[in-house]
Amino acid sequence: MTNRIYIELAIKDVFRLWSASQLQVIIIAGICLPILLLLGLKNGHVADLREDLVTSPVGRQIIFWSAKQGEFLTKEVLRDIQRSIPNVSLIIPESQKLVFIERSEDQGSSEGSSPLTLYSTLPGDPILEQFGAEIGSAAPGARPLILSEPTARALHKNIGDTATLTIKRRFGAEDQEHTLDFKVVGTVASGGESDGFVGFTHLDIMTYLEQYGSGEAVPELSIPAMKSLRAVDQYSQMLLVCFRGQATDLTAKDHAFLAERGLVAEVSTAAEITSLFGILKPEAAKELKFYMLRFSGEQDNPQSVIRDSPELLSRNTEAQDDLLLRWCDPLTVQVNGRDHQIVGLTLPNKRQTGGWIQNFVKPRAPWFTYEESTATPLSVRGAAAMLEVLGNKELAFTPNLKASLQPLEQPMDDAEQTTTPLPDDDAISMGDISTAYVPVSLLAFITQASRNQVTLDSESKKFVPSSSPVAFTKARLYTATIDDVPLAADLLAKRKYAVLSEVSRIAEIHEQDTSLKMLVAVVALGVFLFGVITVFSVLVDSTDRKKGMIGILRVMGISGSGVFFFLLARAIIIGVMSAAVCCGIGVLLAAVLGKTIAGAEYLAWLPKVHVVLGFNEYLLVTLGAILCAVLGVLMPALKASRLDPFDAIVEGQFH
Amino acid sequence: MINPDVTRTTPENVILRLDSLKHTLVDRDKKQCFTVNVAKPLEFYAGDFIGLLGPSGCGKTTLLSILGLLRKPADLDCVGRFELYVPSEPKGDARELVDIRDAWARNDVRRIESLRRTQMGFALQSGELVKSLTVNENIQVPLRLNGWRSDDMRERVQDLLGQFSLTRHRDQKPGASETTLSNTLAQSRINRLSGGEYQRVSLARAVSHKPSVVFVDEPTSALNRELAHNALEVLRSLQRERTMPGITFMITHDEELATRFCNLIVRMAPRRGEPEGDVVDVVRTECQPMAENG
Repeated sequence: MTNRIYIELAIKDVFRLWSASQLQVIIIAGICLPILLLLGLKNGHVADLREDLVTSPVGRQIIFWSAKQGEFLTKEVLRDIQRSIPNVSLIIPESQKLVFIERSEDQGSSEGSSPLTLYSTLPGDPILEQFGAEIGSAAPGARPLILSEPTARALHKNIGDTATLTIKRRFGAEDQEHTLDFKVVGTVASGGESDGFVGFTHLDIMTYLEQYGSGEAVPELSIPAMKSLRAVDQYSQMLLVCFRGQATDLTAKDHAFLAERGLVAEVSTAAEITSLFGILKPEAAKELKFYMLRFSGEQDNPQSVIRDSPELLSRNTEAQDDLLLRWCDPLTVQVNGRDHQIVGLTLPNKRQTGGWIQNFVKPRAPWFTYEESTATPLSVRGAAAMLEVLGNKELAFTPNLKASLQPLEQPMDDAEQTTTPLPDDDAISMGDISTAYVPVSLLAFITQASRNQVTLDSESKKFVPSSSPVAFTKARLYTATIDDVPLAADLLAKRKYAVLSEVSRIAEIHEQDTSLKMLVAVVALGVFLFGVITVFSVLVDSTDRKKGMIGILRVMGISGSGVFFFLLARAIIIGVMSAAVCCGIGVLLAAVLGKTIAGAEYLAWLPKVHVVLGFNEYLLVTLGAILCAVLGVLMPALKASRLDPFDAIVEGQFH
Repeated sequence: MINPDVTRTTPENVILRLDSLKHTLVDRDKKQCFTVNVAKPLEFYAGDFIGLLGPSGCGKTTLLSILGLLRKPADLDCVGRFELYVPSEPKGDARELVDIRDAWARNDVRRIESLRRTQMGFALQSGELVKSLTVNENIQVPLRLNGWRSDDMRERVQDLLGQFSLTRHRDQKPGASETTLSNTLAQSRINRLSGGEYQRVSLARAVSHKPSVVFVDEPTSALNRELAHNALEVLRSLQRERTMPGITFMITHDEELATRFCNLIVRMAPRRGEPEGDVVDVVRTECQPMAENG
C-alpha cells in the first residue's frame, strides 16, 4: 500500500510536472539515441556484408574431397556426413560426363551433334535455384535436363523440348553408343558461348551414366553390359613348387624379395598340398618342396590381392625351375548332405614354363569325379558344365552365388580349357570327401562371387565385376546458413577432408561484427558515462528543487527509504519515457535514412544508410536509459533520504 | 463557544509534556549558534489551542521542531521529561504514554517517524503542498499513509473540504449551479489555488488524519480576517470535537488572534545581548468566545 503511494506520487510527479521532467527525458533520450543508432548502423553494416554471401549460394557452399586418405565418397559416406554435421541442407556429389547432344539440321553442323558437359545436381541445388531452375525428380523414365542459356540458345532448345543425348563407351576393342532422350526443364544464366555446351541433370542419372561408362549393365537405362567386359580373377595366395636341393630351393634372398612385397613363403607338408589333392605321384612329395605364399601380418586376409604375376615372381627368385601356381583354398560344398570339395587347379602343360610338373602327374588320374555313388562321372572340361551341375543341386552356396551360377550354360573360354588338366577314367577320392577339380580361375571367380565382387552376366554368361556403389571424388555441401559454414568446414577437416569454402570471408564478417561491437561498446560506454554524469547533475538540481516536497513528505512521516524509493521510481519512469522517445526517434530515423525521398532531389547527396534495429537493441537501450536515470538519481536520492525533515522543509521554504 | 470541559487540566488529559529543554543550534557556515531554553515546564491538555508568541528570531520555530519530533534535541541530558500521550491501540479510547526522550535516546527513528505520521499534523507558513497532486489528493496523503479505507478517506476529505469552504467551483459565476460545473476546486492542481485556498488546504491536510497534535505556523498570513477566523474556528473545533480531542499549536505574531482563539499562551523572548531565546511566560486563560461573524 505504502509503496503504491510512492509509485503514484512518482508517476504524477513526472507527468503532471512535465515541464520539469521533460528536460531529463530529453537528456537521457539524447544520450541513448546515438547508442541506438550506432547499434543499428553496426547491424546494418554486418547485414550488408552477410547479404552478399547469403544471397550467393557460394556463401553456404563447402566443396570437399578426400585429399589425405584418398577414399571415394559413396552415398553411404555422404549420408553419414549429413547425419554427423549439424545444419546441413544438401550434399551434391560432383560428377561430370561428356556426352553428345543432337543438333537440329538447320544448325548447320556437319557432325549432327555437339559435345555437352553434363554436371550432377539435385533438387534444391542453390546454384541452380539462384537462376530459378529446379531439376525435379528422376522418377523412372524421367530424364530432366537443365541447359545453360548459351547452350539452349545455340541449340534452339526451350523448356519442355526434348534433347537427344548420345553416350559412348569403349572397353578393349569394343565400342558402344546409345541415345537417350532428355526433357529440358530449365535454363540457367551461367557461362558464355566460349565455355562450351553445359547441362545439368539429376545425380541418379549421372550415376547411371557412370555405370554405363564402366561398361556395366544399366537396367535403369535398359542397357546391357558390354560383351567384352569380364572380371579379373584375383588371388591372395600362390603355391610355389620347386625341387629339393640348394640350387633349386628358395634362398634367403628370395625370402627377402618376397618379404618386400609383403609376402611370406611357408613350407607346406600337408598331404593335400604335396599331392595336389591326389593328382601327383607319390614321389612328388619326396622330390618336390611346396611353399604356400601369402601376405604376412595385417595384410593376411582373403581380400588382399597379389598383384604380381606368377611369371614375374618366378623370374625374380634365385631358385631354379620354381613353379608358381595361383592358388585358392578349396571350396567345400554339400550335396545331398554330403561334403564335397572343389579344388581349383590350373597346371601348365609340358610345353610351358614349369611344364615339368606334368612328369609328376599320375598318368591315368581320373581327376574329375564328382559323385562316386552315381554312375555318371562329372566331366569338367569346361567350367560351365561344372557350374550347371552345381547350380542344379541344392548346394550350400550363398543364395547370391547360387543365383549367379544358375544361368551359366555356356563353357568358359578356350584359354581356361587348355590349361585345365584333362579328365581320366578313375576317380580320385580324398577320404570320404569327393573332390572336383576346376580351373583355378573358376574357383577364384566362385570365391569372389561369394563375396559379391563379381557376378555372372546373364547375357554374356561370363563373370563380370559386380556393380560397385558409385563413388565420387568430390562433393558440394550446403549448410542452412552461412554461420553454419565454419563449424561444418571444421568438422569435415577433422574427418581429414580437404575443404574449400568461404569460411575466411565469413570469419572476416564475424571479426568485423565483433570489432564493431567493441567499437560500439566503447563509444556507448563513453557516451553512457558522460550521460550519467549529465543526468546526475540535472537530477541533483531537480532533487534539490524538490527539497520542499521531500521535507513535507518527511514531516508527514515518510521514512528516508520511502523518499529514496519515490525518487528511484521517478527515475525509472523517466528512464522508460526516455527509452520510448529514443526508440520512436530511432525507428523514424532508421526508416528515413534508408530511403530515397521522392521529389526531394536536393537531398540526393545524402548517403543512404542501412540501419537495422531489432528487439535486442530496443531492450538494450531501454535498460541503458533506465540504468542511466537510476545511476544519475542514486546519489541525489541517497542524499535526500538522509535529509533532516526540518532542514528539508526550511531549505525548501526558502529555496 | 468553547466547551470548558474539553480542556480540563487534569492529569489524565495531558497530551504533551516537556519539563525543560536546552537546545543549541549551530550554524557552521556563519560560525554562530543559538540556544533555545525552556525552563518552565510545558504541559498541554486535550483540546488546548496553544499560541506561541514572540518576536522573530526568538526560537519559536525551533521549539516547534522539537515538539513536533522533526528534530532531535541537541543534548538529551539537557531535556527534562518529554512525554506524548497517544490513543492506545487498538480501540483508541484511552491514552498511553510515549517517552519521547527515551525514543530519541534509543535513536528509534522508526518510532519517531511513526509518531509523526500518526499523531502529528503540520501546516507550515507556506503550506508546502505537493505540487503534482490535486487538492483532494494532497488532503488524502496523510490518510493514505495511515492506511485509511478509501470510502472513509473520501468521506473525510469531502467533510474537510466543506468545513474549510473549499467546495466552490473554480470558474463558478454568481448564480451558477454547483452541480453543473465539473471543474471543482477539489480536483484543481495546487498551482491554481489562491494564497488563501492554499493555506486552508494545508490546514485541512494537517488535521485530516485526526492527529493528537497539530502545529500551525502563521496559518492565516494569507487570509483576510474573516477567513482567518473561520479557518481557525474550524481547526479548533475539529481538534476538540471528537472522541479523543487533540491539541493545536499555533505560532503567530497576531496577539489579537492568539487572545481570541488560544486558551494557553506561551511567550518566548530573546535574551538581550546573547544568542539565546527563552520561554518566558506560560499563561493559561479562559478563551474568549468567538464573536459572531468575527
